[in-house]
Amino acid sequence: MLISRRLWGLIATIAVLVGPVALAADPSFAASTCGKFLQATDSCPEANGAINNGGVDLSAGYETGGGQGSGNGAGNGAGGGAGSGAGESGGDEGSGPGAAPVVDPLAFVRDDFTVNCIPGSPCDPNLVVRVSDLVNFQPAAPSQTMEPGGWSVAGLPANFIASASVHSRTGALLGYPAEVRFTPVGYRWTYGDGAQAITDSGGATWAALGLPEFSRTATSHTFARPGSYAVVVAVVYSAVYRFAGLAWRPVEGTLAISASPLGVIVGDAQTVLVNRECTAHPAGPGC
Amino acid sequence: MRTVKRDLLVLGSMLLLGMLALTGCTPEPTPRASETSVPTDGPVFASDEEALAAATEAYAAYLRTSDEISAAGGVGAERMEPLVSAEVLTSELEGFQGFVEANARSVGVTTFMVHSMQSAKFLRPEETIISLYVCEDVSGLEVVDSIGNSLVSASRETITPFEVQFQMDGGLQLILEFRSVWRGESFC
Repeated sequence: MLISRRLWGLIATIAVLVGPVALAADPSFAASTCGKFLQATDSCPEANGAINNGGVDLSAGYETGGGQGSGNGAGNGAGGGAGSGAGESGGDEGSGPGAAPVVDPLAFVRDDFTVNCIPGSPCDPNLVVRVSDLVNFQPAAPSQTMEPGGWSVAGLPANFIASASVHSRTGALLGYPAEVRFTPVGYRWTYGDGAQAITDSGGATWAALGLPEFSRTATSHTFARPGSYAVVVAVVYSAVYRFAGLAWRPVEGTLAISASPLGVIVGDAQTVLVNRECTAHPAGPGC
Repeated sequence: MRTVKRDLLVLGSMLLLGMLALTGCTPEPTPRASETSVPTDGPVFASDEEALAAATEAYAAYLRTSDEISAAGGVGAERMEPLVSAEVLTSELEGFQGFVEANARSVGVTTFMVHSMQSAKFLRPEETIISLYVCEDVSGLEVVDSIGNSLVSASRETITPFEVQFQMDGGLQLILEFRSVWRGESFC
């Protein structure tokens, strides 16, 4: 019975040893580690039958069957390079993953312009960035004021002034750190009475323009009827971008950023002849 | 006929002597995965196939985490800690350091295929050891620098054979204890 148990043990031990080749479980087996960076960028050392002192080290510990020989030196003829062993295993060359060409969408485009550069990445000279790609870059909204402040008179120009300036934002563009510079190129006005306008500039105050109050300006608007209106201005930005260490490049398209609506109360005005200023004599005739 | 009997007798004697000689130096047999049909007080897995599936899943988790860390430029490598042994973790951290130093990150995924199960022992959790032969494929993994330049060598070997070994920890999780490049002729 004792013999029988040990015989099974022997058989079991041999059964393990006749696996594909040597065993990692052996604590004396030195691991051949391969870091992720090396594996991903180049090749793991000693992989795929790498040459070891002039011969292919078929394995350590492959000694089953007696008289098998060490195997060291059997690979001398292969000596061309580390990769020679990969295609020879099992005689099914081409079926294994090792023979497969790179078919990943990120495969290199090796031409005169994009050698070693992934299309769509910053080094790609043909990269086109559109404003829709600027999801991580929120440009500043314009500021908005008007003259008179918050009110106007029907039939008279009210002066609207918007302000926006060149500014930059940093963030991830297509997954890469980038800087985007926004430049205001125009202003779109929506006056709330159905009228709209597009101007090149954001306008200026009457005083800055040297004009009397209620003068017509490039950004003024005349409300025809009294009422309450919400005026919205949007600044139109063009943009350029650059990745770290690279030149500025234009972003295709423009984008508009709106300011908060500005409430305007438009009143009616009547011209009356008064004796004295109504502010001094509010109870005077006509006041 | 007499010759045959004598030959059988000699052969039998030699076999017996050989077994007696071997039994003196052969340790008690270690249960293998294929012995799961033997009644036990609770094997961890019901079959070799189940053990293989668990180890495959554990390796997939390891590679997935590895890809996530390299995609982050080697940052957060400590996420690997729950999945691997201290020894493997050391080499993993060294490997990720390459991404940090090159200011690089990976894009894509590493795929793998289990070539075969080398051995499996899972009669008790504390003795559960599963060893696999694995083929890793990095053809779907790109490495780029901060502005997208590929850092991949034109001579990169995309397929690498590994032998890996898992052990079960106290939390009944398979921990990658060993991962070594297969130095012989590739089985991939």
